[in-house]
Amino acid sequence: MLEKNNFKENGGKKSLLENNQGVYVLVPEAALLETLPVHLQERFLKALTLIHDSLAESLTWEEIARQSAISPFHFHRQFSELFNETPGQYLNRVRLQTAVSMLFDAPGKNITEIALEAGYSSSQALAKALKRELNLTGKAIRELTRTGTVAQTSALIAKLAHPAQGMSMEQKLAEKMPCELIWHPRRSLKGQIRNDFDWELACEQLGEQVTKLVTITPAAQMENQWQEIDLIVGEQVRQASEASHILREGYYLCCEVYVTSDVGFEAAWDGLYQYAEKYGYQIDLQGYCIDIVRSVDLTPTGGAAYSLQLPVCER
Amino acid sequence: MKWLTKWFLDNPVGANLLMLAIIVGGVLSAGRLRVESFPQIEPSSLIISAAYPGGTARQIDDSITQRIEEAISGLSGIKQVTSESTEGMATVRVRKTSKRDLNRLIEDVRNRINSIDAFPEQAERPQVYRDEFSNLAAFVIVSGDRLDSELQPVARQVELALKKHPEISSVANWGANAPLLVIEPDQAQLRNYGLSLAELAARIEQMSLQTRSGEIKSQRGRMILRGDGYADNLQRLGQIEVIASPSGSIKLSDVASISRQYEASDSIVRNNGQTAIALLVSTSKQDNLLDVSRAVQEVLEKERARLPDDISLSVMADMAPYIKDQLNRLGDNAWQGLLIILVLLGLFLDLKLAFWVAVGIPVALCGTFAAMGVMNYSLNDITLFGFILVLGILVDDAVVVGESIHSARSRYKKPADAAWYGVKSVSVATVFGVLTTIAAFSPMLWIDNELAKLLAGFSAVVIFALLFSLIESKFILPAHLAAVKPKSTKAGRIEKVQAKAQAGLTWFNLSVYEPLLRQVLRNKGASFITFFALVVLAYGLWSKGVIRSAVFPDIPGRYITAKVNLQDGAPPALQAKAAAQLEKAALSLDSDLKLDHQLDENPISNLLVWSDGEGEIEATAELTSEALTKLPNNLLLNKWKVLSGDIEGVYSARFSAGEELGGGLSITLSSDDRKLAILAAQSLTARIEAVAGVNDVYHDGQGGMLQIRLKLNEFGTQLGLTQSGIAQIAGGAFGQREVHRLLQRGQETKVIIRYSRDKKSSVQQLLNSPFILSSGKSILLADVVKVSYEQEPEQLYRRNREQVVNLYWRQDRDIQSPEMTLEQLAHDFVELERTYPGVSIKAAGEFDEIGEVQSGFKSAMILTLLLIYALLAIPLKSYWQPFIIMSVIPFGFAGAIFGHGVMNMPISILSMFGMMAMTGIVINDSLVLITRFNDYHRSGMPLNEALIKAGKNRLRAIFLTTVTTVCGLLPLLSDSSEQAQYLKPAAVSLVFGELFATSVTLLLIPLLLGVFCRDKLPLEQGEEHEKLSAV
Repeated sequence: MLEKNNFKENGGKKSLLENNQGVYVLVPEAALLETLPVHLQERFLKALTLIHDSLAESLTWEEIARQSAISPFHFHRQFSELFNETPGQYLNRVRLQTAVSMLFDAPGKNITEIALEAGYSSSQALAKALKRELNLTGKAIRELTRTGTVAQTSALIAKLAHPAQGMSMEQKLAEKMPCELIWHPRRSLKGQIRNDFDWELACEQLGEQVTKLVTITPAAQMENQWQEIDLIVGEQVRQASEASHILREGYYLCCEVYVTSDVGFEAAWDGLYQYAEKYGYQIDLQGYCIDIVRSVDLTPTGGAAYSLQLPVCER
Repeated sequence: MKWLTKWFLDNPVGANLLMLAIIVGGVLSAGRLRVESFPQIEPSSLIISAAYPGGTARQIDDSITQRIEEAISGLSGIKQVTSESTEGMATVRVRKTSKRDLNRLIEDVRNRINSIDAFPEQAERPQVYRDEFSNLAAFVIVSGDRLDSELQPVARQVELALKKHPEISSVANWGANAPLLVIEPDQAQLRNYGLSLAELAARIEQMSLQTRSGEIKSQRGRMILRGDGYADNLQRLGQIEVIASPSGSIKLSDVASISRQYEASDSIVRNNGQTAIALLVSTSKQDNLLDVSRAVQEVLEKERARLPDDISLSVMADMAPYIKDQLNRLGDNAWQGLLIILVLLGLFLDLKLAFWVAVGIPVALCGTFAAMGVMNYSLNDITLFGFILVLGILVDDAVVVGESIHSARSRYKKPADAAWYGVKSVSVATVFGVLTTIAAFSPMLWIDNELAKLLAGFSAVVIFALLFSLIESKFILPAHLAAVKPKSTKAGRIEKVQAKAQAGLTWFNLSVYEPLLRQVLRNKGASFITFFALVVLAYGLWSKGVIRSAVFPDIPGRYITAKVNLQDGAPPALQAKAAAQLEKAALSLDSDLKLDHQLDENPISNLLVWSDGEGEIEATAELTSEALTKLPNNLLLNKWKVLSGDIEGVYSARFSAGEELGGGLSITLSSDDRKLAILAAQSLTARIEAVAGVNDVYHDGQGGMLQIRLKLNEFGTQLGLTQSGIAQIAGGAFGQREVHRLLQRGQETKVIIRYSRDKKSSVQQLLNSPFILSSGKSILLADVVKVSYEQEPEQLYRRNREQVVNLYWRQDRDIQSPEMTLEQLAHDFVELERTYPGVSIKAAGEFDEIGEVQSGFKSAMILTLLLIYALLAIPLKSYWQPFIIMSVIPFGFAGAIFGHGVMNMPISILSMFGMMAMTGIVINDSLVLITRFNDYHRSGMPLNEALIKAGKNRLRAIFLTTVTTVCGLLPLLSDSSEQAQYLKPAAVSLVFGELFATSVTLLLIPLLLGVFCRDKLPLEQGEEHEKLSAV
């Protein structure tokens, strides 16, 4: 039964990689798996799906190898070769990523809940891991979402990126991400400032409807502390009279990107900024940075496709 | 040839392989054939256009148009020159004669134009290009409830995205306005600083420029040195220092407002009630329409995701579904025709024989596909028509051959022998039958005329198909039939039906046809006069107009257009109002008609309203297929006209459905004195309006708009001013002064200086505008100029170097044909020319086309008949027998004319082409008959005996070929779709001509042979023979 289910999931993920034409897949696992022959791809996909799906079950990597019908020895060797880290390290990193994401994005959850959901045996285990890897406490991380800056949080998140030679895998992928200069006409948005917006809750409540949501942030505030940044969440409306915010017409550096983690999301934004810098685009500080959810995969392993838009001045 | 038939008979494997090769070739080629809406034809005219921003129509006519016309006047190979001078633009259209090579003509024209050196200084260089016919694939419409200036960049982006797609080769932006960087100086500030407009412009030119770079070769390497640079955005332009002095500097942004704008902001494009921009996607010579259409959808899908909800991207006039529909229709007509033919063959021939005869159809079609692939023909409206038309003709040869083999079986035991002799006995008739048909279809391949060129593909398809059917019937069919075992004697159900059909035919042959033929032969004179009378009747009915005719028929189109011209100089607000009025009427009509006629969907699927900003408004409504079939003709058109009501400031309004050929119906009045021509046009308008079926008459000799002339007065001269200073204010501040042009993202962007709109909206503002003296002081313009008013025409037209006024109208062809109207006016023309000396009146537009097509048609007809004569004379070895055969042709025409009467359709040029094709088919039957008669007669049979025997003998074959041809076209005749309307006239000609001519063939040919046969035997002897044979 489990086998069958997994198989379906695999199919789902695979088709996502192949069919999302025009959307750049910024997922280290996907990029690395691509280099493998098909039969091995399937095997690893199965294992990865298992890791992500059953995070809360606190499985060890050996158990995962066993359930994927690969000998632990082979699994360890091939996994480390492919992913630049051992399955154990990978598992730990994924757990930590999940926990940190929840600390950031789910203000309603307490630390114990987060620890258990991320697959730690207790809140202490999580606290230890946080101290060891990030040298921070859970409380301090939560505090960062108010008093920290974007740069600080993204540096923190970047520590949890997929290791590779030189820079992280995410950064490498973000460098290659195709960006386009697109002229957008004036758009009207009806929304409100929602710094405490709970994405997970929104996904649960809205389901596919979440793709209508647009998040904008004034480009000028990007250097501020989080609590002084306005995150405005809303929907586009047809009539300017209904709108609370007007997105000015003009040029935006845009990318369509599929990510499965906060690390990927942050890397994509960084990539966009770096692209602007590289080609000499000046960021329009009067504009808004925009992200629009294009599609979401509501399975535990699934990610989301975003359209990220960075306002730039006319050259 | 004969040995080849024999060889294939002896080597059936070879025959089968040949068949296989043709089929494989056809199938492979069919998949690769290009699909387009209409065949591409080589352009036959070129256009010279020259822009002179700010020039009035008269200025341009004098200084540009006439100079161009003068310069190219001596060139050979020019058929017609028409020109139009409007505000700011001269357009000269040159039509070449058919023999001249367009590229060389373009080169010659370009050389002549380049040598003109007296163009006004600010006129742009004239452009010479071919008037290429672009093949519409679809309109992509960007629309939204927004300002035009907001949509422009979106449209540009969509345009670029479309162009980027590899399948799309050509995209034109119809609503695009050129981007501008506009500097609008503040008059008060200019006066403060004592700056004149010219100084300001000069200053900007000095501060923002591009020039060559220098170089420094230093020890460390080479360096490029540049001192130039454009101020290419708002910020940089604003930073330009206009006045710099030790006490400070004044920047451009201090004295002027700088903004990005678009040219011609008064123009309007609206789609379904929203602001819109239309992008025209067309197919080129290599494109496949269906691929292009798919590519457009793909791009739009992607672009849509990027756009806010209130901006929509839609497709109008997508040709792909239309062509798909047409392809399906062909498929339907083809298999229905095929089925009918199969049933008929099965009824009258042996079943196996029928099967092998029918196999000829797919083989010939495959061969045609293969040949089309090789000769680079595409699948389009015209070639598809060829396929439908040829279906019934295809089996003719096979029927004749099959029938011949069938009857040879009774004489020869061995099937192979039967096949051989069967083929041999009809070989002359079939080969030359096909050749004459090809001859009849060929003129369209070589007549030098636009319409014929368009129809060339159709002829080509028919000819290919006929050639392959000949190959099939000569080489492949005999081999197949030789292998068929003689019919078993067992009488099944099918055989019973067959026997009945046979019996019926035999009965007809013996008790109807034979006695009738004998009657006819006995009363030659009376019969001859009867036949002759029928022909006379047909032509009489036609020429007297009982059976209508119109060279170009009215075909209800999917697009209804309303064109409104406002009076010259009408304010822009009126234009918007008129556009809104048309739009509102169409939209309310849309919902009303849906309710009234209980349609499933709104009858208008798309509404595009367009206006050029200079008083011309055009609204086009696209109808759904449902509306086209369910709503009565012209209902929507008439209701729209009524609902739109009176339009304020209107000069002319035309509502039309369907395409207008050659620019519609028009009459040109030429005269050196424009006023006289206008007067003549006015009185002609009054007369033409009284003619039946005439609507929407108007002429383009409008009074013109008001023109203010500024002339330096005495005070001005005393101050040392010149007229050029005045002209600069008039043309620069109130017109626009171009500083320079930048290329931004592949688009040319002009940097211009002009007064802002609200500063130039009244004459008072003009007179109050400051005039800066060289001392830096300023005075008002009103102090130094004299003002006078006059009328200036907005457009001036010329035709073959003469100034003309054109008069247009719309003709309701159900009431009267345009030719008839013209005929009724001939008297008025003479009278008007007498009343207004120097004015000459000529028909133009569609009438030009008619004249051309008719003369081309006449020469083609004569050549075809000569060719057919030659092709008949050779096999018949006789000079006079071909005439007998060809005598059925007038009967074919007569039948076609009756047919149009029966179907209540006007005889049009399309019917004529059908008739021409028919000549090739009707003579086949007589050829079959006459060759058989010759065989009998030459082998010594008495004349009458031979005539009757030949007639009886060939009745079955003639009956079958006629019935198959007619039945193959039946599905098309009963089709009421829009597409079929183009094809029906030709189909009617073919079906009725063929039916009538065949019955005539069976009686008249023996009659004529009886009359004219030289070595005829005495009548008594013939009758004796009859008696003998009867015994």
